[in-house]
Amino acid sequence: MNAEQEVEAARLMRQAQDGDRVAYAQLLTALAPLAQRYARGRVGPRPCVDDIAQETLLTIHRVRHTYDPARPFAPWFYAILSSRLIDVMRRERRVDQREQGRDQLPEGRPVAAASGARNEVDFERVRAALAALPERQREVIAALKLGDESVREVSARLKMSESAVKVTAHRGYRALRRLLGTDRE
Amino acid sequence: MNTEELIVNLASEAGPVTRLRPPAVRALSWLAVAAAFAVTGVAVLGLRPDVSTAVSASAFLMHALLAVGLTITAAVATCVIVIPGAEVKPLARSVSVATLVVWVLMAGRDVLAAGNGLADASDWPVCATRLAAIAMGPGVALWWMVRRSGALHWSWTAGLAATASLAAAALAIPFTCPVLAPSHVFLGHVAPVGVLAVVAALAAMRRPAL
Repeated sequence: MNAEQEVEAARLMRQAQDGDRVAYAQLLTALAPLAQRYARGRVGPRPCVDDIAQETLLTIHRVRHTYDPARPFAPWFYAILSSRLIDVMRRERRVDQREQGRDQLPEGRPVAAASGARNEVDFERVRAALAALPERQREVIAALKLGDESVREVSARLKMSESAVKVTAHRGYRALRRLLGTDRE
Repeated sequence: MNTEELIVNLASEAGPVTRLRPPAVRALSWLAVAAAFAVTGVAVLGLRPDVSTAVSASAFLMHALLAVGLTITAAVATCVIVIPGAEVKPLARSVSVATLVVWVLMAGRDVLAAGNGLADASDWPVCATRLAAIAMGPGVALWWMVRRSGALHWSWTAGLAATASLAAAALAIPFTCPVLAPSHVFLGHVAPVGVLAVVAALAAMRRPAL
């Protein structure tokens, strides 16, 4: 992030903190490729680069109230980014270890070639992958997708904020894509 | 969900936020709360009969000074590290840890100098329990303050918050406890601060990330 980008990011963040959603979207749009570039520079061109960038944006969303406009933006941003990078890499290692030890996931039909055709995933594989998720992620995804509840209904029932429901669901979807081998990103 | 969709999602639900107050302001607010709990603890437990002479003893003053120093440095460190990127170098944490180490070593040195080992550490569990009890109030207050912040290192945050709270309580205990034996002071007034702070840090290691 060069000095000009940092000044602009600080300005957009100030406006975002005051409730300017357009400025906030501009800020996140500007930060996403920076996060991806940073992650790619440290872990190489791996699928988790987008995970790291998205986790960073989610964290920025959760803690945007902690940014002090009187202080430089870059240290705040990169502290979050580096922390999320470490967390994602640790999670990747845990998932890899769990998948290597797990032999219950049934073989599914092969994933369709990348021809634009929709990938079909065996229902049993989906169910097994869902069962492999952490309890909270499984609960939220089952409620949203199988129970057809709204985010508001899920947050009220599980006593979570709507933001937390979305974050949990997002992480769950990503984990499912990884488990099912359908992660295109 | 791809990144573009995520950005649209996040921006759609983003409203104005209340910015965190500066760390120094938050630390000062908490110190006032901690002082109130410490004073209340002393009032409930009762002042020791010889408090007027005890407070002029050099050992008492040294322990009090270190307890105050640790309370302040740990509180400031807690309020600093919960803001991403606010701690340029781990100075705040280092000062707190160093103060705690010095305090524990000083108390340990007094035990060794007394030459009785831990033989005269009677009733130390009473003081350790009282210390932990007094620390709960400030501890809950400080944890409530930091939970809405952006702590990226929960283990350090919990450890420092516990240290600050326990040190505040450890400042109060000598005003109520007339026992002077170095081993009692070490086990009942000083060691619990370090031990329980480490326990808090370890317990927070499993806390999920933001």
